[in-house]
Amino acid sequence: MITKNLNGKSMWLRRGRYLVICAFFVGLSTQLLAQRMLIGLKGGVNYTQADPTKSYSSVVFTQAPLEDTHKRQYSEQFDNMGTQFGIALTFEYTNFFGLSFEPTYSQYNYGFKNGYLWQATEGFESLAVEYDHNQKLNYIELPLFFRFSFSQGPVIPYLQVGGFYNILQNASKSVNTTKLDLATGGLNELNGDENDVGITHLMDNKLYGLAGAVGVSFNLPHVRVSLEGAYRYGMNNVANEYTRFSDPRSSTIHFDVLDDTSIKNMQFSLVCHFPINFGMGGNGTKNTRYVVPYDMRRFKEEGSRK
Amino acid sequence: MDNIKVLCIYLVLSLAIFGCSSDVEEVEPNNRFTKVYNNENFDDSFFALDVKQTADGGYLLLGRKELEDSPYGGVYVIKTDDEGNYQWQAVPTSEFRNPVPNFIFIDGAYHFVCMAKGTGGNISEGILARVNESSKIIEIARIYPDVKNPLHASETRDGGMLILGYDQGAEESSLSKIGSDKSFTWQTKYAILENQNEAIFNHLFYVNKRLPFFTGSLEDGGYFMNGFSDFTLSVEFVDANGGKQGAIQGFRDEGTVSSLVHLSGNQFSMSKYSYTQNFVLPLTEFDPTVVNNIKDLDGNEFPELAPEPDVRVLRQTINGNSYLIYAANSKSNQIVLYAYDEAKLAENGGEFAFVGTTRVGFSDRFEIANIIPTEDEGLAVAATTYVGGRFSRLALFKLSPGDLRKLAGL
Repeated sequence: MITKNLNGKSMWLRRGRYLVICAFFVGLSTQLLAQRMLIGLKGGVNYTQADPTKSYSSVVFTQAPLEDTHKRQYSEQFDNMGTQFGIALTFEYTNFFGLSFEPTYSQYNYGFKNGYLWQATEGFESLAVEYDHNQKLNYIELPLFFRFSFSQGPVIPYLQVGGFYNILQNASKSVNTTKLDLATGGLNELNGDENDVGITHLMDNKLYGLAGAVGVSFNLPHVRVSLEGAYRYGMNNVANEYTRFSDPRSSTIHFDVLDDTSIKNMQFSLVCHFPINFGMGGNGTKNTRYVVPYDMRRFKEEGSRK
Repeated sequence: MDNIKVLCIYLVLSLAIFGCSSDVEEVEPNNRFTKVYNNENFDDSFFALDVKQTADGGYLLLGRKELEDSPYGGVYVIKTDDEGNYQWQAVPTSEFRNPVPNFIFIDGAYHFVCMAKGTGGNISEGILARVNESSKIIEIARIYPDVKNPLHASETRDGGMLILGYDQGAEESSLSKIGSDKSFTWQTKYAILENQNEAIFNHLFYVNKRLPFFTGSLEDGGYFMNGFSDFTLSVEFVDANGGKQGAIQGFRDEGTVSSLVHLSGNQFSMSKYSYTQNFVLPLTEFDPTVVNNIKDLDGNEFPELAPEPDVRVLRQTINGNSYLIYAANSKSNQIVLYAYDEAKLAENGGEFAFVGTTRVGFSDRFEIANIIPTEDEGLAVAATTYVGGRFSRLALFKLSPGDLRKLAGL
């Protein structure tokens, strides 16, 4: 059963790679044919939804616990805010269709809570411990989109669909502990025991999946500004199943091990494009000067001067 | 932008993404895991004693449960599957007392030695208890009235076992040989010549210092035990029929051997301690038929080891070569493993053969119980841990074959 699952994952990995490779070569060939290129910067915030596909823990119970506090409660998507910043390269083949490649440095955050309780069978002695786990995953994102623009005026609604391949740069985890210790004469919750540790080796070094975006662009003088909402649907497990128990820290209840987790990420970005046109010069020669793409008269004048 | 430049950028990006290969060992869930067996009872305390891998690939853990009504511990057995997941437990608190390491596979089932109330009502008689895996219970297999206060037991090559005991009334240590049919075969007694009740009962009651009592077999058919004899905690050697041979005399209970494996002839691998110092002797030579002094056996001091003399040594084959793996408690509350290459030990006269080290456990204090080889050529480590830094529970670490190769420096 396990072997089948592993084989299944390997198959998906291979398929994922082929898809991205194909996308790259489609992008390459299309770029070489593109009539207009826009280069720009993008940045914004993202919200991650983490879904455990299989739960793991170093701590197992030999008697059923009174409550399920040890089970992890993953936080809501809009509680998991991260940021992204990067480059946006758009190749417009026609006024309707183009490709967009947006290498970005992104931080995905997600968290969960769990807790443990020990109670005396007689008397009031008890210890309740709650752990607040937060994971930060820093990726270089390599999304490639097919871009469809629905207008050629100063305001351009657009839709992008494609895929992404993220390369993990580093990952860290912080755990905040809250204790209520009735055995040592205290009645107050004690907070502040926080650990922040690296977990890059416990995560898969990639994340890939499908992506889509909708946005609207505003053609301003010398710059095209876009507001964009994007959604990434991760198709692989972000935790590394092979290294899950390789860290000695996994033997402690406050660190423990990571679940198999899939990720969905919603991004809101501001994009500033600075267009560069190809093939607009006279006699079919490429023009490498910076121009505003819809200011066609300037190109014609330059072409006629030659 | 020039097309060649664009092509180059794509090639570089493609190489960056797809050119990096990972050397992570692709383990199955049963190859590597860590499990801590917890319950929510504030008053429960468990201490690990041993682990064995069962025929179904799972594990049996032997432990001691502290009792409210007796200074002697109760018996605690956990059965897991091959991934260390809990399956069942047996906690027979009324009949059995003070289980001692190790599990012994005899007559087709796992057994262990513990104590029970004797005919006079005293808790001191040694009994052999059987783990009935199908009924998930512990049963009495045999009572050995001549074995008093068992301290350690181990399996012998002929399918029988050895039991180290202490007779309080006679102030004697005893090494008893049990046959493969569970019959009492012979017993060799050692006069202590000094009252060591406090040290031994502190050990039995898990108070203060635990002492490194152990038994074992020689390659050529003899046996040995580490127990009190002639004023000191000493290793005593006997022949196959229990006839006394030589010894390694320690210094009271403050300096003696803490683990021992016979390699061949006069060659042994061992560890020793002197007060709070721990020494590893991966290859040492002495004649087991004569009386030796612990001071004459030199070793490498390991200052990172905790003062407690809890050390285990295992002879393990890794990639076809023989290694000696030591496991001990470290001052950083972890269990530290050291690997020595036997071929290099022989080649370099016992030196320059330390090939790797690794640690298991973190932060919450882990204490070694035992290390065993597993079917997949990995290693299982049974330990006691203190969950949340407080509640003593059993823990099981499974190291993968790749982990062992890494430990061996391969």
